[in-house]
Amino acid sequence: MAKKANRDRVFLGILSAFTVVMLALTVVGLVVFNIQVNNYEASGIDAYSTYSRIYAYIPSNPDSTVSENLYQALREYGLQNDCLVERIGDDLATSYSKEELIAIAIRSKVSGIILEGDDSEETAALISQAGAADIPVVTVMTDAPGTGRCSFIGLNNYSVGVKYSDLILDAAEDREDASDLNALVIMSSGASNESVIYGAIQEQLQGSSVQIESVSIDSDSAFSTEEKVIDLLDEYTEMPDIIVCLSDITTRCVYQSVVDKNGVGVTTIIGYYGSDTVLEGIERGAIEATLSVDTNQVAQYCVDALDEFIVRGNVSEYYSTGYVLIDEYNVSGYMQETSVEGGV
Amino acid sequence: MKWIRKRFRHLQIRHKLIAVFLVTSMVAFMVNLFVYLSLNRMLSRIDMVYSTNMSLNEFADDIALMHAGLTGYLETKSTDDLEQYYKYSQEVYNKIQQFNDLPTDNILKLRERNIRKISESYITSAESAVRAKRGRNVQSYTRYYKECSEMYSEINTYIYSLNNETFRINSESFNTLIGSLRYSEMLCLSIFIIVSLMNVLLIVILTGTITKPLTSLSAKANEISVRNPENVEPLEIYTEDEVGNVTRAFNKMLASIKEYIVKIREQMVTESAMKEKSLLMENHLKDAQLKYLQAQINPHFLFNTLNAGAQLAMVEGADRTGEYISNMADFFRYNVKKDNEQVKISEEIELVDSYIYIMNVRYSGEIKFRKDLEEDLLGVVMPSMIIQPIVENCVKHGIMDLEDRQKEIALYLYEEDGFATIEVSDNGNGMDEETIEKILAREPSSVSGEHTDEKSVGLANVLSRLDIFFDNREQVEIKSTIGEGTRVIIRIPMEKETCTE
Repeated sequence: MAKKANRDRVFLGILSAFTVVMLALTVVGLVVFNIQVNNYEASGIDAYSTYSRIYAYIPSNPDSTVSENLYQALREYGLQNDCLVERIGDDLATSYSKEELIAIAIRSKVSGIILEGDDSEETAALISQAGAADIPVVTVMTDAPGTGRCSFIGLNNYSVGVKYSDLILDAAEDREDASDLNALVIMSSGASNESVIYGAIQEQLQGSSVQIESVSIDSDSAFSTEEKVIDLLDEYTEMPDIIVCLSDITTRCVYQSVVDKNGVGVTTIIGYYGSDTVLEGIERGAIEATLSVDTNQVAQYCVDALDEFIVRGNVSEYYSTGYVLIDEYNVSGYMQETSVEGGV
Repeated sequence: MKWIRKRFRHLQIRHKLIAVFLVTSMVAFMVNLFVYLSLNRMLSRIDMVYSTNMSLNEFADDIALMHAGLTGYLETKSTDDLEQYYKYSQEVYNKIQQFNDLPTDNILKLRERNIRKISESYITSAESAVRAKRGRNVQSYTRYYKECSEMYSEINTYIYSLNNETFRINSESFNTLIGSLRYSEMLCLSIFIIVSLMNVLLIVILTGTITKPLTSLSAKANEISVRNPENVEPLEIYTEDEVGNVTRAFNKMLASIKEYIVKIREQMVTESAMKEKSLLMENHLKDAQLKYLQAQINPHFLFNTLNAGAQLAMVEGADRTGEYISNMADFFRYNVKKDNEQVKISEEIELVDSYIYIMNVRYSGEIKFRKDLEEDLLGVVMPSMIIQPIVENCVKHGIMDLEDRQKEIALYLYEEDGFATIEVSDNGNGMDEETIEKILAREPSSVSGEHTDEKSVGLANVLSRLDIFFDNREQVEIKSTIGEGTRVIIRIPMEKETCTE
């Protein structure tokens, strides 16, 4: 009788323990299930923040590292100032031209446009159209002179040109065959700022031993820049002693071509902007130096300029940002920065 | 918890069973309800996921029809087309009101905003085109129509992109939801198993509380059947239901059984004591009678012959002899007849009379016998053969050897303190205190010990029979002074049953 009672008690104990464990598991399961459902609901489909203003950013070449980094900087700074910066046409099924994107921005009734300017009439007309729709336009990196844009934010092209000429002369001095050197300046067609830079270089190198020539590359279609750079360099039986690139994409293309042609050490490359490839080139000694722009500062000026125009109705027409020289001495610091931020 | 347990204890078995099933069902129901609601919420999310795609497609259809209406109207100025344009213009307008209007960091909502804004621009331009068409301003409506076409294309691009984006996110969500659904499937199965186990446990526990008292009751009943009920402890009452009532009744029954056993035992003890007393009494009587029978050779024969002698004496005119023989006959008759133990005092006194008469004949009338009796007390019942042995003792040990004075014996019967008091006194030799104590201590042959050869009934025998008969309620007193005489006083209780008229 006592044995049976004991057995019953053991059975009941095991059953109770098992049930308690399973019950705890059930409760945990239900909680996890509930969290999962709630997580799904909070997965971002419905969660978002709204802002009082929206600015459209329209770069000439959305794929360039400069524009990508600038867009990130604009977006980040904008969010801090209750404004959303949208790269119009981003990830759309159809790719639109810059002019079409400006039109879309106007029709989308954005609060302001941050535009990488050019000197085309169409752009000028669209800037006027935006002005008529009370949408202020600021140009960034490249100006659209003679249009109704409110302000331009970018490098002082002349001083950049002077710096490039200094770099050319330094490079020339470093070379053993310092006499009768030729330098090639590669520009993008339609970029007025590059013309100013080139003008300054020409001015500075006048009377020096360096023979300078320039070539404009039309980069209106995808991959055209690289092809054209390869074609250009192929034309030379002897590689130019110094190649100066005034855009990020040409710098990268020239660097790759020189490496391919085994011209490292023969040709000195002076580049533009501090993208990863360029920094890597500097570190390896293939690129002499590069002039970069502080995208965070540019972004800040752009957003502030538009904000100011919206609030006050006018704004300074020109915001100058300083350039940054990156060479073999300080490249490692920028590379670390790049690995953290994703670009200079 | 205690309150619930207390309440549960007081419930009827039927209600307990209902409570058990209700509780287990409620647990299962609650869990199922929770899972059902969660699943429902997820399913509604799935539903919502694709509803956005559907509503976007509807919107794309509306704007296509609107644009077709506009194109048709601008081409042919057809009323139907204008109607279509207006109808779908309104539709589009209504639908874009539900779209997000604010700049937001959510790409889908931002696309919605762009669609809304471009659509608004489209409607404005389309209105301008229609107005220009009415005004037949070809250049103007062509320009507006161009704009509208561009915007129509842009809107479609945005819708397409938004649809793609939504579909992409929805696909991810769908995968998450499918994962969650699978998880919930497993969860439901686990919960089902757990709840079943819990229910089993609950039923085991709760039915245990119902059946445990029954099991105990059954075990206790078995115990009573095999063991002495006196050693069986009463059952503990666990519940206040029907089983509790049965247990309580069982405990009462057990207590009653124990009580009866005690009573029966006491009764048996009493009966055995009484039987013992009766046997003792009988033994003493038999002893007395035996001694008389031994003392008198064939009393019947003697009695008959004595009667014959008395008749002969009467015939021959010897009256005194006749009377003597007659008294002898009476004396022996009493011995023969009174074999039962209860007699009246009067009968005892008659025997004493006969005895004195005989003694006086034997001793030439030396014994002077006096008696003073209260008539009322003559019917009092007492054991037989009490007074005569006392008188005989007086004769034998008191006055037999008396030379110097008259031999006197007196018998008194009177009432004192509710007792019938029989007092026998003589003026004989008396006895010492030691002898008196021995007699009162009922020591055998305390008086007749010196005359064991004489077949007489000793005082010890007399007193012992009195003790037995009256349960020691009689009082015996012996007062004696050496050389002056002895008084034996017997006080017997006068009870109704001992008094017969």
